[in-house]
Amino acid sequence: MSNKLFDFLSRKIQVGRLVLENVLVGTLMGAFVGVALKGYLQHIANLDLIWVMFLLMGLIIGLLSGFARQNRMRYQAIGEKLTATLRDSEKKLVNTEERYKNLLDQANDVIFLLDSQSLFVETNNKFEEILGYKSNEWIGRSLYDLITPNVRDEAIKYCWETLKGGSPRFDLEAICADGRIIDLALANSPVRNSDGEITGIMGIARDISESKKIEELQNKFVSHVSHELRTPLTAMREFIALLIDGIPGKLNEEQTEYCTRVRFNIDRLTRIIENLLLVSSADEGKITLEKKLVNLQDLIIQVRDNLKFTAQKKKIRLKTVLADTFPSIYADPDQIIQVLTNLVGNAIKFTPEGGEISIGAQDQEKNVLLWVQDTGIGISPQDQERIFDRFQQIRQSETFGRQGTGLGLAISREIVGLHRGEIWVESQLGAGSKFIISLPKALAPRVLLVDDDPDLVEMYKDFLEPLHYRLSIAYNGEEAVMKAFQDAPDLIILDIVMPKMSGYEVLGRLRQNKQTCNIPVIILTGYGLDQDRLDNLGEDMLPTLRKPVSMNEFVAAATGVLEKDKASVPGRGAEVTKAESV
Amino acid sequence: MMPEAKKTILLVDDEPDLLDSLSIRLRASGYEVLIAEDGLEALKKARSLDPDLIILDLMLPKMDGYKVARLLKFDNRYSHIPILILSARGQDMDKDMGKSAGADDYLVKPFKSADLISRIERLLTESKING
Repeated sequence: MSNKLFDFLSRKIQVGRLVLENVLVGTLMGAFVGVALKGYLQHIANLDLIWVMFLLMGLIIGLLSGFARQNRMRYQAIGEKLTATLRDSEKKLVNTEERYKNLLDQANDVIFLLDSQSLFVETNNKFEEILGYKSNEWIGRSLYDLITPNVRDEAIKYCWETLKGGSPRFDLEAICADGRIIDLALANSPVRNSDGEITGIMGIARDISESKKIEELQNKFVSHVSHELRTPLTAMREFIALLIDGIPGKLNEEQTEYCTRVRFNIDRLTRIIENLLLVSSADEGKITLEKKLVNLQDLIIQVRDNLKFTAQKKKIRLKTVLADTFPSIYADPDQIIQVLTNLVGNAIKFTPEGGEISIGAQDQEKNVLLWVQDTGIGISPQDQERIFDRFQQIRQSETFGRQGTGLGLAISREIVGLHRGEIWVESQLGAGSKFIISLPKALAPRVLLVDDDPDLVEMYKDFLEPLHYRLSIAYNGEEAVMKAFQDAPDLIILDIVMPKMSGYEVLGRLRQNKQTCNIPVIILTGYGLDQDRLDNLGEDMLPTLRKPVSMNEFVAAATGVLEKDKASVPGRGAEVTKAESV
Repeated sequence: MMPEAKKTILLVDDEPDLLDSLSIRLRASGYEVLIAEDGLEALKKARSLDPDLIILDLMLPKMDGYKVARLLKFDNRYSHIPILILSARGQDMDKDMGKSAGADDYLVKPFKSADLISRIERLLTESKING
């Protein structure tokens, strides 16, 4: 408080002093001028009056200039203060920027910022180091140019998700400056401005080439070892079979029994190896489903019949709980049988003599449930979390003897996952277990209609309406590629002539990616087709509809592909269509 | 059995135990058995001894089974001999490759003897009808 008062007083004193100084100087100047001009001026006026006039003039000039000077000084002070503040905040800004840049550049991962068009705004040191590009080189270029074509569409989809506010993670293959291709694990997060609007994407990518390589080696190793193991097993099985069949001479009952046991164990070992192989091919994405419309209750009965005797041997009752009517779903019957066999097999293993196992199915609104319930030893909560992982067995199993590889449930989960379903367990120690599989109900096939003419799209929608297909619509090429990813249609009806991205280009993009490469396509065209372009895409025999197309033609083409696809092997859908459209 | 001559099977594998056990089985089932332990020997014996059927492993020394199958199947003089591939490689791709090399059937090791015998019989009757 006293400080402020002091400031105020000293400022006032300073101002007063300035004014006084100027008045004095002005007056002196007036007097000086008066003396200098005295001689000349005496001729025209009274001397004394002139003296007074000059003194007055000096006083006024002094006052004015004093105030002017004071004002100038005040503004100068304000100016200086402002400059200082500015300089200060500038320094702070530079500091922040430096800190931010350091943070980016010292990070162990590739970090970049993209704008809403997925163009690079900023990249860090690691970007240069790992990918080998100069960082400025990529500013303004598209992320998608950095990515190999086979995952490009997926990347577009993920970036799109990010711009909608999601933070997806995905693996991609990036092309380095020297042409190498490396595996990156990318985590995207949206960048928002102060209003909370999403203006871009921040991507953090880690080089996972090494771990990918190791994974691959591991799989190769498993598959190699499995092959190596089969050879001696084959010889063993053959010799034992010769003995059992009595080819070198008839065996007595006991000898036959022992040999049969040896053969049983050889078969068990063989199954374990099969499972190992299955897991490694699941990792490589080699398990393909042959989906058909199946009645799950039929499958349950089949599994019950297969395992009836094994259960009977252990004096376990095996019963089924079935509904009168049950919806059919799209599933691979062989794989579902394998899962159920696995579950019932486990149940038999872990259920004491005299117990009961039931297999059932239940119709829910959107899903169907399959369950296998036993009166066995139950599974502790800790174990419930682990049992679906590979090579895990429940701890209590030691009291029951260890059997199997601990792969059965892992494979089951893999298969159920491929069906877009879920598997889980409800259990209490000592009170039995219930394994439940939920599978999505058979849905009508989904058709993706692609045409840039909205009127035509409406017409096609009307054409297909009586068939009750689920429809996705795209009005341009980009949208078509996006929807092909998102909606996983069972059929795409694709217009060839579209602005920006043509149907050929869409086809090319779809075929480059493993997620979309097998979706059957029907081509719509008003003109002739560029056969060379289709040949180049390996699509020389796609079914084609020429505009104007009638309802009958349209429906026949769509049902032709979809009905055939039902009976054929999915994953080869495209080939089937091709062959049959000839 | 019919009074007609015994059918001859050329058994090709580089695994002595499998050669022994399988030839015992095949002889017990009434076939004449010839043996080859590598791809080249298999090709020579197939060309000179004119077997009624060939059981062929894929991973063989000197020349692999695919090549043996191709060289025989794309040669008019020998294409009539049915080839059954018997391999430890059970993946679909291998099966497809075997088929595209001209093999008539494919069995994955380990196999059930009864299955093998029934396939052999089927191939032999088919080739009799076609031949």
